[in-house]
Amino acid sequence: MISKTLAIEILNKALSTGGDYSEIYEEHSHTTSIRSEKDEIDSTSSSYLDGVGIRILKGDRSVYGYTNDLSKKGLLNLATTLSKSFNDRQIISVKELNKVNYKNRNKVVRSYDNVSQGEKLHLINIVIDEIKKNYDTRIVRYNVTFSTNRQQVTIYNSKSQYFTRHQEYATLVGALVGMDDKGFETATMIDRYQNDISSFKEDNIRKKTKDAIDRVIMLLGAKECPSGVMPVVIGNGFGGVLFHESCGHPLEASSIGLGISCFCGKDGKQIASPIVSAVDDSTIPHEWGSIDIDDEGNLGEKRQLIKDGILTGYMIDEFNGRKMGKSGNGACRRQNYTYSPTSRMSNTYIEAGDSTPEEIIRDTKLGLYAVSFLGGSVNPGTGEFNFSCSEAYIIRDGKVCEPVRGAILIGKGYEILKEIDMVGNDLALEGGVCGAASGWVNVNVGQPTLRLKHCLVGGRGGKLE
Amino acid sequence: MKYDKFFLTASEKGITDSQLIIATHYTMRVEVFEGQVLEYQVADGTSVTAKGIYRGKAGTVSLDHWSNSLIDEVTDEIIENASIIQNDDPVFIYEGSEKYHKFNVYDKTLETIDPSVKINLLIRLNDKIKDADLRVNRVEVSYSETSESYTIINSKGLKLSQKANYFMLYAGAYVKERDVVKTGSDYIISNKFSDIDIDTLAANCVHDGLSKLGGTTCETKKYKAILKQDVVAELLSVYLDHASSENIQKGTSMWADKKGKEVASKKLSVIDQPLKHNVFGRYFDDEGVACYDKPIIKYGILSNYLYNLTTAAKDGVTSTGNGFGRGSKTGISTAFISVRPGRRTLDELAERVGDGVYITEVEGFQGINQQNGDFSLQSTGFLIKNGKISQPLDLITISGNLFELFKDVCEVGSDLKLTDSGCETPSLVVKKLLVASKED
Repeated sequence: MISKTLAIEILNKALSTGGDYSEIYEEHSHTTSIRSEKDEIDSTSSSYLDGVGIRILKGDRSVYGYTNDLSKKGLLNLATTLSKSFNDRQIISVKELNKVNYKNRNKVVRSYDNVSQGEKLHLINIVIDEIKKNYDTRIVRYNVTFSTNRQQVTIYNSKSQYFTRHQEYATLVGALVGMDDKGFETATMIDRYQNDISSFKEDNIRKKTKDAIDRVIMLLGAKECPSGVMPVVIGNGFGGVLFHESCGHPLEASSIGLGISCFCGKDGKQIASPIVSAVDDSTIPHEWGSIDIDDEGNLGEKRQLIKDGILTGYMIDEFNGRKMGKSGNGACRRQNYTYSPTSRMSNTYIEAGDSTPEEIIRDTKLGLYAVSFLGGSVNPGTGEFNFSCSEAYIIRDGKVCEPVRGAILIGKGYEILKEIDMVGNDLALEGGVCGAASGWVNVNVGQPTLRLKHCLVGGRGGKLE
Repeated sequence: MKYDKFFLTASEKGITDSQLIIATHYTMRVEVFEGQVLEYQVADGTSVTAKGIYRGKAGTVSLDHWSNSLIDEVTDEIIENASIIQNDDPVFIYEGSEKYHKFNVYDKTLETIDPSVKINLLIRLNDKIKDADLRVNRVEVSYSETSESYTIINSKGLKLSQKANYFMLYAGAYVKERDVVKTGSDYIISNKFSDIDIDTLAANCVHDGLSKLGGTTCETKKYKAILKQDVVAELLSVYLDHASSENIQKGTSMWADKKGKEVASKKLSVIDQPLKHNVFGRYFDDEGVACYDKPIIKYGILSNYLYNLTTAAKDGVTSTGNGFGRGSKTGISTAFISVRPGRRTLDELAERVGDGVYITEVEGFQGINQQNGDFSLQSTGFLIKNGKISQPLDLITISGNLFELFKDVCEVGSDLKLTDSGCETPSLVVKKLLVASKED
């Protein structure tokens, strides 16, 4: 670990040409993975990340570099190289570093470094056992992976702060491939926690596995999804990827600060239906997307993004915040030391409303019920988004009817929020991994069941009749 | 030698064969936004993947900081990882191929050009985009340069190295008309600075953005369609995964028992071309096997499956040099793909289509079912009317099945483009493609 004395020397070297902020991000992480192909373990891996990233800001300019050369000479060389981007007189210097004390809501009780291979194999075997218990000849291939990530970082910055953040994540994934005479379909079970191995409960793993088995069999018999504009009811939990893609990304300071977001200039204005309120909350203990303190030393916050349809907040990092005239609000994140940090989401969700999910379905004459999604993407500049359904049904006369496959929803973020006309009372969060400029970070998406009055649906099944 | 102690310790601990893959890289990246340097990045790094065979099973550990003091820990972890492998797939540390077609894709002059020259170039590119049209609202340009070396050393005496450098120059524009914003972009990948033509790059980027303004809707139906090169490259990357012998052996490829049979249009020929001397070229794979060029699809006929050492041993054939990936289990993929071009330009293709659509971008890979090839993707495109590419289409999806799509190829363009996904392809015309749009 870098000593405080060396850290001060590096920060000052970085500031020597007029930078107004400097920061050192030191990382020592360990990831492991065990995978079975059908019933046999066929691959394992482990990797160690050890490196340092240095960032200097000066006004609206940022320079970033990283190295695996952890020697004093290597680190000072990097700071010197980066500082050459500026050629002014030094304006600030660092004299001391004070430890930032913060509330550790995601405390690691038992590190995955101390979990035996046998304990990990046990979780994989529960999934395999459940698949065998529900054996169906149409399931032709399955693999199960258990992966862990211990991320330990120490950050030193020119605000005279230093702190260490230790986070641990684990994911159990079962991927199923079903086949019949018409072809292949896939379904996946995922169980993941920012917490120790005791969070994985056998009953829950079995239930998720059984759901995935049922889903792949259902998809084999499903018709192609019709296309066109129709009402769409979106299921709770992972359905929140809609908000994440279409509205969350354009509300990050990295888009707003540069003036390239479709929500620029909308502060305090109605951007969504009045029944929509949404937050990004990094303070929920042990949630998948939670962080106690961000990469700039700002504490995690619950950020109200939309209140009763009015735009009220953003995810802000210090650098992009400068362009918005706002301070960072604990949303500055990166995947690892090879990325410069920026504003990112944590646990982002639409808050619960009044309707029951049953009422929403009952109120829909003809439309699509998109229960869950594979994922999606957005162009923050145009607001155009897409996401693909992993499970969907046609709603006819207020009833959930035949399953359909290959459905994709597309639209524009700033239009779709106004299309929400019913919000359920069954809020749920689901973990995912979000890729953007500062790499892949763990996030939760979430929402209650809700309905879009109109949404463009793509599929191969002709018109909805 | 720096790594000798690793091989010695591994052997002492009962690791029968061992191997190191050492990759080093240096990168720099500059991003200019609205004429100002927004971000400047430099990085150097090393990654070492240590692999060993212990009691007939393979274990690996990856690190990005190597020192002899870690060797005990690394070898113990290789043993631990190998010890829980249960399946009996054959594993290999390879002694080497008979012949390698060695080459480097490295241009020394690239590194000698001062960063200030590259930054000035970006600022000039920024200005050209900004000045091209009043509707250009924001400009985002970046230059990234990577220099990397890749070495494989093993206990069977194999030692191979390859070195490459390249840059990617990206031009992006946000164009605005009334309240509608569209984005346009273009890029160039090369390692010859002299290949850069900022006038063309700026013009293409602005044209790409402006051409999307004033979008219309279209009837939801099947259209004859031209697929732009980048779209072809994205779809091919999923399609060709079915040539992987691992997927064939596991029963999840649509091309099992199809070798030598017609799987695509006779107009389509796709070559796995790792020896191409460009930034994607490789002369040995991650197992140390010599790479070579071979057709995957030749005039519509499936010509070759792709193998690594393990799948080749299971089928009793030799590896095709497609073992890529650095876990304990090596995956199968291509290094570089090229599609045989035809003779017609894009304009000529449009003329022959008559009435149809021109699909220029697709978004969201999760919209492709990798197993059965069904896809439904958010797309950007244009109507083709009376043989001319005309109005842009606003918010459309395209849907179909990859296996049917590549059977439906009826024309191949001459407009070869090197895409950033490691594919050189022209535009293709397909007989029918379902397009869904918000209808009037």
